[in-house]
Amino acid sequence: MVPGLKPLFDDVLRSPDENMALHKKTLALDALSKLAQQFSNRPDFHELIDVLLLTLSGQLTAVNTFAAFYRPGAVSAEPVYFGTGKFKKNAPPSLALNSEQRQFLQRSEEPLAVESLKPERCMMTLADELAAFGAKLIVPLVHKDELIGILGSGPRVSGKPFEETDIHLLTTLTHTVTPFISNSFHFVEIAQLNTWYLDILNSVKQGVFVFNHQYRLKKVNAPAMAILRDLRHDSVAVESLLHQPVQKVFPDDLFHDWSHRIRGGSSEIDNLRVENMAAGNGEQERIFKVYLGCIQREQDINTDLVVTVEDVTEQTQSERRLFELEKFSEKGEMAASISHELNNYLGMVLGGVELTTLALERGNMEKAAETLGKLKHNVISMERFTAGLTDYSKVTSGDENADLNGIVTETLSFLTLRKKFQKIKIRTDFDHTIPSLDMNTGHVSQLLLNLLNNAADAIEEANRQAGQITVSTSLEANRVILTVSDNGVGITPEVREKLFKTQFTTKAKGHGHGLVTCARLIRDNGGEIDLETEPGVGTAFTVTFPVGESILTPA
Amino acid sequence: MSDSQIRQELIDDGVVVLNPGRTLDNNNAHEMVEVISSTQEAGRNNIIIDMCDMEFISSAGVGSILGSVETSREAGGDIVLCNVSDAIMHVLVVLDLVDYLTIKTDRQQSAEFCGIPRG
Repeated sequence: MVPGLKPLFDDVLRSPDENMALHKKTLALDALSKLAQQFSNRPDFHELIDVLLLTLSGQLTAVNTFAAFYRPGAVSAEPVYFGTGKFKKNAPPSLALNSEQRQFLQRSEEPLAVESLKPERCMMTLADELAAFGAKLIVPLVHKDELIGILGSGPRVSGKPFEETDIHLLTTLTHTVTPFISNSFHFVEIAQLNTWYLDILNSVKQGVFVFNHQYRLKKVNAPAMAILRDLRHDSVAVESLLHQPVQKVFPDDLFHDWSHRIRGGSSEIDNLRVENMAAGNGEQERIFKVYLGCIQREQDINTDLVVTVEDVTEQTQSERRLFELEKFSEKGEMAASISHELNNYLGMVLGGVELTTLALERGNMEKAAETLGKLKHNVISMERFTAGLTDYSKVTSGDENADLNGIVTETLSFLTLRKKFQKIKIRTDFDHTIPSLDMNTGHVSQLLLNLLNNAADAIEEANRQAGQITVSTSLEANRVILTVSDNGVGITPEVREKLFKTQFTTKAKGHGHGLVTCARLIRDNGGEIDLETEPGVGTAFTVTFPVGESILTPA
Repeated sequence: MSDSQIRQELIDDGVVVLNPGRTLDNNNAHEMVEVISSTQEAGRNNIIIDMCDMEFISSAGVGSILGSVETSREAGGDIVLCNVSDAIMHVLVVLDLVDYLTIKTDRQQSAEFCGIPRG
């Protein structure tokens, strides 16, 4: 009890009848046991505090009572307030305690008369405001050395001072119920947090499914249910799916092989895995980007699997159109390049024919033989060029099981005939132990063509006299790695940020589809693309293809 | 939480009779406050609490009445208890509430107190 409080209780009215005092104690104990029982049953927190305040009011025969609860560690925060009678409507403004006031109350675990608080400098304002509010008594609720709240009482209905027995009972009551209140308040806080997290979860556009370690559905958000209902054409309820196995949530007839792929994923879900998966049938087929990740909690051996689903049908169709556009554009450039090369050869052939004709007209057989020899050499070069075209068309034909080294060789043999590559020194560094990729050869070729074209453009932009491109392959930790590096102009951080975004280009004639297409091709095949660059020095693109049963097959 | 249902009866415009049943304790004290509050908010500040069936009242039950009395009185009405059994009266005596609360013998007396003429 703080100094100054004791005298206020010295003049308590002692009950003249011991039996009366006994009856009061019996009533109080009965109230206590009922309260404890109710707190244990965790009913609605508001109702619980209301009953506590009514009990307090009845015990003290106080006109009205109030309670304020503080969130753990939240200094100066507005408390959660409850009141009865006239105290019900508004809380006194002083209840948002500062740290000094909080510490003072934490030290005083017994009832405090509001009047007795005034001499304490830090409590002076609080005391004045509480007195103006009509409060006569406050009781700090301290649990585990932390102030969790305050109970307060107005005057007694009789207008008489509080009796010592009342104060004793009040102390006992608050000590008994404080741990229960603390627990209940935490339950409320947890419930509010839970609601908050659910609101966040429901506000994202992706569908989120959480499965337990036995692949049974634990949690699902509203967009996820919308996806399910849309595909199933029914109004399936959340309740009917909770605790169901993954194959019931994603039935094979609608979600082709999803349950198998999801189950396959969780054995190695310490990292985020992303896959495109199809669902629905016929014209209603949708493409989803499916992110598989895990929630591993400390001291919990069971991992939850989080399946995040995003409908990318429109995006995929748009990217496919871009891809076709890119191929079309590439074909146009290639046709121009082929035409240019063939014209060069034809020009040389025509020149050779004219020289031979002239030599024959002059009867210079020796010169004629020499120019015919050159003519033959040019025709052989032409033949080589057209043979190269045929080989290149083979690697772009779309067969599976891509031999990465072979594709690099064929692509380079074709590209080096093109003018912009002719001044560039191209070096290869192959690892001949890499397995063949279980992916479309046309895609790999397309990817390589994009990277090499970009490298040549970067070298041209840098005005390098000794341009150099290095293409290397390697096998590292179950990953096949393709690196294309150049000593071109390099990429600034600003440009790098936008590099894989559609229709971003730094080239005067570029359309910005090249690297987007590359990234999509790689992602579609379960790979990753990264780059290291230094402006003015050069760039190295690294493409990684994970080696797994579904990705790679032995060469 | 509560199985009890507080019976309400409007006996005159402005006077409402409430019968909380056999007990008024932690289980229905909250509901009692809600019923009294909504009655007062509807402008009916004369409330008769008929305790004819009541066998037990707890501290919370007492508290549910105490917090509401002042509101009714400030609005020119009152909360009147009637048909109070000996056991309940004993509690009110122990708590020194007999002088504070308005206690009448029966509904008729209570109604008269609230200004409803005998008849």
